[in-house]
Amino acid sequence: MEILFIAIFLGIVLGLMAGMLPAVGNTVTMIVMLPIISNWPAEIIIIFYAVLIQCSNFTSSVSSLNLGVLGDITGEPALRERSHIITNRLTDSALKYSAIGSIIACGMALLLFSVLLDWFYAMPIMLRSETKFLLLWTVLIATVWWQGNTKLANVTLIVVGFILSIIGHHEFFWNMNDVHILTLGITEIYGGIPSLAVLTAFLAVPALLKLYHSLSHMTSVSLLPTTKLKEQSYKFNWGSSLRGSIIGIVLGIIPMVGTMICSNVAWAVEKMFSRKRNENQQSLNRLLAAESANNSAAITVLIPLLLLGLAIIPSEMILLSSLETLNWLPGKSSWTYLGMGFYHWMFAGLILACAVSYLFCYSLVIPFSKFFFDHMTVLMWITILLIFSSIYYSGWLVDNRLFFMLCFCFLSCIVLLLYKNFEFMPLVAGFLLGDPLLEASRIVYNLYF
Amino acid sequence: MIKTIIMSIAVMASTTVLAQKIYMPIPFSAGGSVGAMTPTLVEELTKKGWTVEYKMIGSCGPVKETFEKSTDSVVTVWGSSWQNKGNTCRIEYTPDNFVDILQQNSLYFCGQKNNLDFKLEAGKTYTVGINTFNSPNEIKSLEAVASKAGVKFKFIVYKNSGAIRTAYEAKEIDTFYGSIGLAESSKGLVKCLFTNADESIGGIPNIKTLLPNLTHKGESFIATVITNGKGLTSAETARLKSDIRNILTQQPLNDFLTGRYLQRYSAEPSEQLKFIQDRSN
Repeated sequence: MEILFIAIFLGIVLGLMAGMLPAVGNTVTMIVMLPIISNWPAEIIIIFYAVLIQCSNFTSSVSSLNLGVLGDITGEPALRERSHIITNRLTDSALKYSAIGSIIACGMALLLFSVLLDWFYAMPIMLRSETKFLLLWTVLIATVWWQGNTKLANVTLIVVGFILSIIGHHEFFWNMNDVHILTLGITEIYGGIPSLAVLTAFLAVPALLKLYHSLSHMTSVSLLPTTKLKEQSYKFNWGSSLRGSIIGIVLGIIPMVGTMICSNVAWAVEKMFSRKRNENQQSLNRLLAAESANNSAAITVLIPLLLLGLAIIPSEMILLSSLETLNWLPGKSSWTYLGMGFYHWMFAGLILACAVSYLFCYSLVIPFSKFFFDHMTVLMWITILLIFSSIYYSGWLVDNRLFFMLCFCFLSCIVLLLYKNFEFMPLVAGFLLGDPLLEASRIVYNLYF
Repeated sequence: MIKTIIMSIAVMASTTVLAQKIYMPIPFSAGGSVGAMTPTLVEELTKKGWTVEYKMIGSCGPVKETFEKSTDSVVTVWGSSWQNKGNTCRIEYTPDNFVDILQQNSLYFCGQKNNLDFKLEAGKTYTVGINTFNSPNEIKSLEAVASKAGVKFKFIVYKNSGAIRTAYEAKEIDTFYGSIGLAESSKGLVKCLFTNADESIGGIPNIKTLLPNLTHKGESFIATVITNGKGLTSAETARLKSDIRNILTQQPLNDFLTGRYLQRYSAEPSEQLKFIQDRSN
């Protein structure tokens, strides 16, 4: 069970890195880590993920503020405030208040998390297949509005993803009979199209391509000046932090919203509340609200997953694809280690993650960010190598290396042709949600007809 | 002369080493009871001098193809649900390929949560939660129960026991059928009836207390161990089968089965083979 401590340690380290590295983020990090974490117990994988996304939300804004480089996409509000913060010498306050706001938001969300979970568990209706069926449809329908594509394109991508997900041999598919869907008699396809190949091709490859293009436009890192002039001090606004935290807690549960949208909504809402204050305080308040929102959302986003097995953001979908291979089921967990249960360990991991992230953001983030930026090309190639290795290793585990690599290469070729015109998240959503939706549909149909 | 002796020894040794190697692809996923049990089987086989290449494939098609076409020695675990007629993963069990039954279910037919007065009322339709890994015989058992009770069963198939438990907690199904009945019954919240034999087991009444004239028994098997018999001499194949059977009857696998409310049908291989052939479609 030392894997638990390794998982927490790795979650912290990789989360801090994922927040700082442009275009990498939690989704690509999960994809690269899949072959390793798939060997862990399900509860430890969830703890790893929770710690990862929490830490990446700390560092995403810091990279935006310090370097003017968008790390994780949740750092967008920080990037928006950057020029005002630099011009008005608000650096120290911005960094300090972001970190404090994140800690407060994390604490609030953790307190409410256990209350919300207990409340949900006490309602049997939340556990029913009809609820899962409706929520899955809600997530898929919400994906139709995914930015970057037209609605028609999103629908088409969802359908393509759904078809990819149902390819294979299904037992008890309908009326106790087994069914083959598009297997073409090839036994390697009985198990379906490998999730890792699809996720890597449609999520990681476009992200790396965009990173490659953006690297060629980045010439230097514009670090915030280490000024000797004393900054004017501004108040830490508890109201902004609480508002942001509540927005994050509420919106984090909504499918396909996620931490990015939460932080932007909190930023926009705070604009309305801070109008009477001076501009510097307004800027700090907006940043504080955005940071609080994305950290609290990073916790409540876990509730649908833990309660219903419903993944509502891309990185969670990758997590769930790994959990399903371990026959993990949502609901109350009986897993314990050293006398502590799963939720106790998750809380402990998250508290440790917040503490380490706070200290890191306060003292070490500038040199680390500069190091990563200076070696971005090397890191990109290392990521590509890791991705290829992950797919090959996953194929080796099930004695199907050639099929895994062929799937990945074929799908990547499609991505290379289309990535400039399309965002592929709807396809990934259709792929990851297709099978659970089919199962929920089958059960609901059999219950009522 | 010495060179010749050394070379002969080397050839014999390499032949022996090669002959001791078996490939064990498992068509189940890592999280279930078979996935949890087989690593121990591999460990015990290794202690007995076998070199086992073990892979968790998670799909029956590739494993079936390997089992039938490979010229190397392949040992695998086969699921009872694939023995339905027409299933593309069906493998005919024969005295040559059959080794032993890996796991059996104790099967319990249970009512809804907090309904300790559970009975079947003639003329009604009941939803029954069952597992995808149920064997054909389990469906026959339920149909026999329905026939005797004068009711209709609508089967709702869930992907595993945990999903059935969730459905039971949510009161989504009227009844459920499977091994989890023992654990749920021990909490005192559900009425279950044991279906495997004529007597009552573990304090749980037999289904004959509900249906005295029921003759069909709900015995089933989840998985069997089979070997393709290739790549080994007849003596080596016989030793392999004997070693596997010994491992399955002893610790630690016995403890594993008990801990998960599973059983093993202890009988001679020929009787076991007849048992599973009678319970396949």
